[in-house]
Amino acid sequence: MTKIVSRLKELYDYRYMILSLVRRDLRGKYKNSVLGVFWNFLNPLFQIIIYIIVFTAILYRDIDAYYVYLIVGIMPWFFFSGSLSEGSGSIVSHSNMVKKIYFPREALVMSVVLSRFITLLIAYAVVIFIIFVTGFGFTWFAFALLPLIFAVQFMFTLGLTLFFAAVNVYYRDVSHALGVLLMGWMWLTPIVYMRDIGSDILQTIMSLNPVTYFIGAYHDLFYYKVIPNIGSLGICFALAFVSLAVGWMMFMRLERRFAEEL
Amino acid sequence: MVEKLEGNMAIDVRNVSKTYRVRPATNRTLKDIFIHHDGKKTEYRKILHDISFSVKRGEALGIVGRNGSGKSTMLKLLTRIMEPDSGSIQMNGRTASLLELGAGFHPDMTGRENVYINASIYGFKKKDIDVKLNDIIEFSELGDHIDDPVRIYSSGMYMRLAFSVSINMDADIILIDEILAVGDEAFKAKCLNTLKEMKKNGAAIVLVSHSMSQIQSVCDEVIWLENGRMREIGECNTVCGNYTESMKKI
Repeated sequence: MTKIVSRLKELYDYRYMILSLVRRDLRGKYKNSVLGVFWNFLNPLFQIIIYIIVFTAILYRDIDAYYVYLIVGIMPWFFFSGSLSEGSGSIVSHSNMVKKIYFPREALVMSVVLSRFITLLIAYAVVIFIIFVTGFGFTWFAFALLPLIFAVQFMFTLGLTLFFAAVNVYYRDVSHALGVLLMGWMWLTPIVYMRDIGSDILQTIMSLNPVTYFIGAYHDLFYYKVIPNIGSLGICFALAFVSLAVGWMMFMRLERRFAEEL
Repeated sequence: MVEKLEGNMAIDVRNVSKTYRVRPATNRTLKDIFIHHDGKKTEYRKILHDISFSVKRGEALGIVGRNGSGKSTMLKLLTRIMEPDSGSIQMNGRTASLLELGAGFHPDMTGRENVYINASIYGFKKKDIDVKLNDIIEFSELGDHIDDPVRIYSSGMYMRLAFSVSINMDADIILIDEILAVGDEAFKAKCLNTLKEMKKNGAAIVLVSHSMSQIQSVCDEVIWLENGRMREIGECNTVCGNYTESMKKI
C-alpha cells in the first residue's frame, strides 16, 4: 500500500513530464503545417463526415438518425483502439530513454492515453455540434453523465494499455497481435450495427465483450436518450477498477527488468 | 534497513553485485520451440561482483576500464534505472544523470520548446525551467538559433543544447557517462570547468570516461573495473597511471 502511495506521489511530481509529452504529441504532429493544431479538430471532423456518408449511403438507410448512433459510439472506440495500439508500444519505442533516464515509466503510457483522450474530447465537441445542428436534440442528463462515462472508459483503457505495454517489452509479438485483434474486435462490438441484431452467438460474444458496455452507455445517453441501466453502469465501473488495478500491478511487477530487456 | 548517510556523504555503495538475464527468446521462433524443441535456456551473466565505494560531497570519482567491464552498468544502478541483485546503494541528494542527452527532443519543435520537454523528463516543473531557461540558452551559445527548429541544428549545436539542459540542473550528485565528447575543444573545456565549479560548490560527481586527461582534470579518486570486479581503487593519478600502463601491454 505504501508502495502505491509513494508511486502516486512520484507520478504527481512528474506531472509536468506527462503534460509536456502530451503537448509534444498534439502539437508536434502538425508542426510545419499551415493549419497547425487546427488539424486536431479537422481530422475528427472529416473522419466523422466520411463515416456518416459511407454507412448511411450504403448500409443503414432506413434506421432513424443512424448517423447519431454511429458517431457517438465510434469516437470512443477510436480512443480505445488508438490508445492500445500506440500505447502498447510506447515503452519499447522510447527504449533509449527507459535505458538511461530514471522517471516513472507509467508516464510514457499515460501520455499516449491522455493525448488520445484529448483527441476524443475534441471529437466529441464535433459530435455534439453535429447533433445540435441537425436538430436531433439532447437530454440534460446526457451532459451530466458524460464525464462519468468518459472517466470509467479512461480508467479501463489506461489499465489495459499499461498491461500490454509492459508485456510487450518481454514479448514483442504483443503489439503486432493487438493490431490484428483490434481490427476484429471492432466488428464484434455494436458500433456500426445495433446491439439487438445478429445470431445468438454474436449476442453472447457482445455480452462477453467489455467494450460493449462502455459503447452502450454512450448510445443510451445520446441516441436512445435514456439513462443507462444501473446494471450495465455497474459493469462499467467494475471493469474500470479491475482493469486499472490489475494492469497497473502487472506493470509495476514487470517494469523492474525493463532496462535490461530493452 | 536504511541507515541515514552521514552529513557529507553523497553516495554509498556496499557489496553490490548485478546479474543480467540474457534471454535467447528474441531469436527463438515458433519453429525452434515446436519443431526443434530447442532447449536454449535463459543465461545469467554476472556483470558486477561485489563493488563498494563511497563519494563525499565536493568529491569526484572516476571509473575507468575496458569496454564491457561494467562501468555503464554501475552508473545505471546509481540512477535507479536498474536494481542490484545484492548489496546496498544509498544516494543522498538530488541526482542528475547525464547518460542520455536530448531525450524527448522533437525535431520540428524549436530549441526553446525542446528545453522544456527535455527538462520535464528529468523531473523538472515548468516554473523551475522558466528560472533556468536563460542560463541554459546562454550556456549553449546558441543565441537566436534557440528559436529555430532543432531539425536544422548541426550535430554540435544539438549536443550543446542537450548538454546545457543537463548541466544546468541543480543537482547534488552528477553522473556522467562518456558524453564530454561534445562540441569543439572550447565547449569541452567550458563543460569541464563547469563540472569543477559544481564540485567546488559541494556537488558529488561520478565520471565514466576513456579519456584519462578528462578524468585527471576532474576526479580525486578512481576505480579501475576489470570484468566486473574492482581491480584497483585509489588516488586518481596513481590508478590512471597503472591503467594506462596495462593498456599499453595489450
